[in-house]
Amino acid sequence: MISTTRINYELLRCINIRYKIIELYTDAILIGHITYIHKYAKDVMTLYALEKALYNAVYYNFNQSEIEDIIYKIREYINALDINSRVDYFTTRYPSVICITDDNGPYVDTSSPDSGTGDEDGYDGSDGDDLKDGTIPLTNWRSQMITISENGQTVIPNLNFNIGDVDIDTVLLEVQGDDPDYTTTGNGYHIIENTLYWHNFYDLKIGMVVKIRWRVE
Amino acid sequence: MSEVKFKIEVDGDNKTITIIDDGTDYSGLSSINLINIYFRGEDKTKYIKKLSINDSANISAFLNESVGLVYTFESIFGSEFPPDNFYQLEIVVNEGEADQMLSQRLAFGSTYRIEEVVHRGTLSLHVPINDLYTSLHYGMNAQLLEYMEKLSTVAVYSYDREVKWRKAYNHIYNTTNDFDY
Repeated sequence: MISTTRINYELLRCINIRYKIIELYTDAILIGHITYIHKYAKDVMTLYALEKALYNAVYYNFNQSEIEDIIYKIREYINALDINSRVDYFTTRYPSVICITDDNGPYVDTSSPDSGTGDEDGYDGSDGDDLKDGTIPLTNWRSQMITISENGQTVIPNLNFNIGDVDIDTVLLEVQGDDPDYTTTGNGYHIIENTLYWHNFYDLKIGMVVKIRWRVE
Repeated sequence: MSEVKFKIEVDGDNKTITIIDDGTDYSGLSSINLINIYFRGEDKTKYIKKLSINDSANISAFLNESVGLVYTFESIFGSEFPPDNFYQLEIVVNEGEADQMLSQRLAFGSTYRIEEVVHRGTLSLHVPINDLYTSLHYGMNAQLLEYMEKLSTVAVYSYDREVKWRKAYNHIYNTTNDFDY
């Protein structure tokens, strides 16, 4: 069963984002931007409807998969709103949205892999062969994918790094298959040496993939 | 000098406001002779209402956390419904004396009239609504009211909160006037 903590979390998040869009609506009214007035009004009311759907699903004892469907719909809609850069909540939780991204990490590292030869933007003029064959890593970001092998797993050993050796502020964790959010350090998990201890408000299940990223100097 | 800490309870059912000291350290004062309570609105250089407490019974009531100073809306605002505003409360103890103490600022909003206007407007609605603008207008008024209720909760004053409150309020006020309810 989905925990009450998680449902409250989803509801509160939805309410806070709805209030944020109401603020944007009042701003749009002030400048008289009719397109945005309509867009924000529509978004606010859709979120309100989704919020009530989740509330009622819990109230009327819908089953777990139906509730998860609604949560998924809420997240899908919020993601589609394209207001990420304007909502404080997202700017802290989705740094990649407001930065240039690449596949290896949330930030493009523009420093030259071949130090000393690049220009000030980090472009060293090479044809990229050394990057393609893997002799030089593209960025300072590293990642590791771990597939969960048992339901309720809380200990993930053998990470490819030792927490004492990396900048802890750069460690980002994402659970694929269930929660599209980054789980914040100190909130949903903690790491001792090279072992991760999971204590988030939902359980990991078989088949979920934990993607962890960190940055080396 | 420490600041005066206090809390307020706005009771919409009994139409009262209770103002209570919240564990202020008065050790720097020889005695409390005067407590001035200021209610301010949009213009912070003026006050809407000033309550001066200088009798020992009321001063004791203010300091007693289980009692507090209880005022009816009628006695403060001259009406059983506070006029719509975003109120900021400040307390000055022993004002004008050498040991004068200022307080933190608390704020709350009142939205009685605008709620009434929105609800009256909704009652006069002609259904079915067949244009998008009217539909969004009615829908957003209810949303804005909910949002304003959230912003109207008693809490420490912040300029940001006041601006948001006034923006939402002005929007409802202007549009309901436009619709001439």
